[in-house]
Amino acid sequence: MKTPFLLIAIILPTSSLAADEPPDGKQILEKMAHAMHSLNYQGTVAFVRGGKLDTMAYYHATQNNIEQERMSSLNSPLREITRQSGRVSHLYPATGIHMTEERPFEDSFLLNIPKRIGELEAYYSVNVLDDDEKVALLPAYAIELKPKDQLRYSRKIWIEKNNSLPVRTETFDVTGQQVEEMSFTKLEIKDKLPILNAMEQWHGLAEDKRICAYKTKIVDFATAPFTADQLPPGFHVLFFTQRTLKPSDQPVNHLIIGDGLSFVSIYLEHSQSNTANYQSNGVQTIGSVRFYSQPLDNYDLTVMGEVPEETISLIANSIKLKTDKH
Amino acid sequence: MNEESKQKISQFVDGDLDQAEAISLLKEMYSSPELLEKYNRYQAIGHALKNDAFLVTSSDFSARVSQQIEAEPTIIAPQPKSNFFMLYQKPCALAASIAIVAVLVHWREPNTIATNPSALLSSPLALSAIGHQLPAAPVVSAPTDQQQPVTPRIHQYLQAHNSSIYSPDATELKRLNQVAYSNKKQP
Repeated sequence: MKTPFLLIAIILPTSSLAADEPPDGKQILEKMAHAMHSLNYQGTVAFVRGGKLDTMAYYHATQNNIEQERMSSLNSPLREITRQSGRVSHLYPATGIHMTEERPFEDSFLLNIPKRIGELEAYYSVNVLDDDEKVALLPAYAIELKPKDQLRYSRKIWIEKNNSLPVRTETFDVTGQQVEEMSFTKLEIKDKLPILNAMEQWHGLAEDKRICAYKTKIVDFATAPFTADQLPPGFHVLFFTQRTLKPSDQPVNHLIIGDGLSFVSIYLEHSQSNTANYQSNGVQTIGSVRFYSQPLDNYDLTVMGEVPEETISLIANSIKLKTDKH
Repeated sequence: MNEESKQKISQFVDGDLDQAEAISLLKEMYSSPELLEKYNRYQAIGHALKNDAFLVTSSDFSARVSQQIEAEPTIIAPQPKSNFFMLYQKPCALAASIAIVAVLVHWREPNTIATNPSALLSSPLALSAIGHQLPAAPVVSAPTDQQQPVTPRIHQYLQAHNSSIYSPDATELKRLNQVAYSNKKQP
């Protein structure tokens, strides 16, 4: 008869210790990644990139395994962006421009994070900086994703404790300077939010006002006129497309690579005058993006992304033309 | 510096001061470095509101530039032999310059100085009339060493790179009006 009391005596101190243990950053991030996809929520988000502020109304709805994310600008120029099933639609009501593109490698407008956080561990250390911060008066964990090399930016993510949603993120370059910030100024969790037809507003426009700017389709990277075999550690090919960009009708090869948190675009097209002004200027910065352009035989190569200068240079050097393609 | 002076500088920068008051304030500013500094600050704020980027100069910026100019060695070129034309060349050129500047100022801003006394600061002719040196305007510059405009192609690349941030709207090009670059590294 003494056994039950003994069992309680053992369990009590153990559970008390578990409650005092510092939270594990990886588990918090995994919970966040799940909450971002499974909850219905809406609010107002402020994005600061390269010192420019954009304020957007944000909606995330999920129903019967369909997930929809929408953002509408609150200031001119008005636009609405919808993501659903790996497809992103853009609508510009003032000009009637509508665009759709396939972006299956991205999960969220708010924050790119892989579902398996373990993928990041080879290149980032995950640290819990503070487990009692407040963002928009909501208690939050502050998590740091610190790169283990100089080839990527570090990030801080504030995750709201009750629902595990990211309420604020900051991105820092290798010198510690902030390059990007996202912050909810208002956040509501809902039991249900409607999945809307992204095209409804566009169809409401007069036919002569509708402009379908472009559509993109995924193409097998093996068909590209170049290779990217010597990418910096952690970066791998995510997506390849060939699209036409006005005014020329020639295809522009567009490869997107990533390391789980950061994406880099590689563009290759037959030489025109468009990159001639840039080729001697080294790596350049616009907002939070760095880019570099150079001629590559009879092509123009441009590498662009939210990564350090060194990474842009390494990626540009890794691009080699296939000998039978030019 | 009293509140009334501050108020007058603010009105002056906004162009709300009449001509007599403006000239009186200018005279006051030339004898008061504190007022001059305040004026420079207000001008800098005005520039910052109108532009995305500016560089604040220290209050003694113009003084230091003047000192450096004065410290430059004087280059004495060999004197050519004078003739009748050269004797009158300088006065003629000066008179012609004054006439051209006067015509240009009258053509460009016939009503500006009367209606907006702060335009005095950008009109050398008008200022020379009151016989004083101008206070130095803040240097408006970008925060980086070199900048150039974004080409439409780079804008298209940005848009394709992250369409949730960069829109194809033409106004977006204006918003992303500058690209900064360094020559530190070449891949």
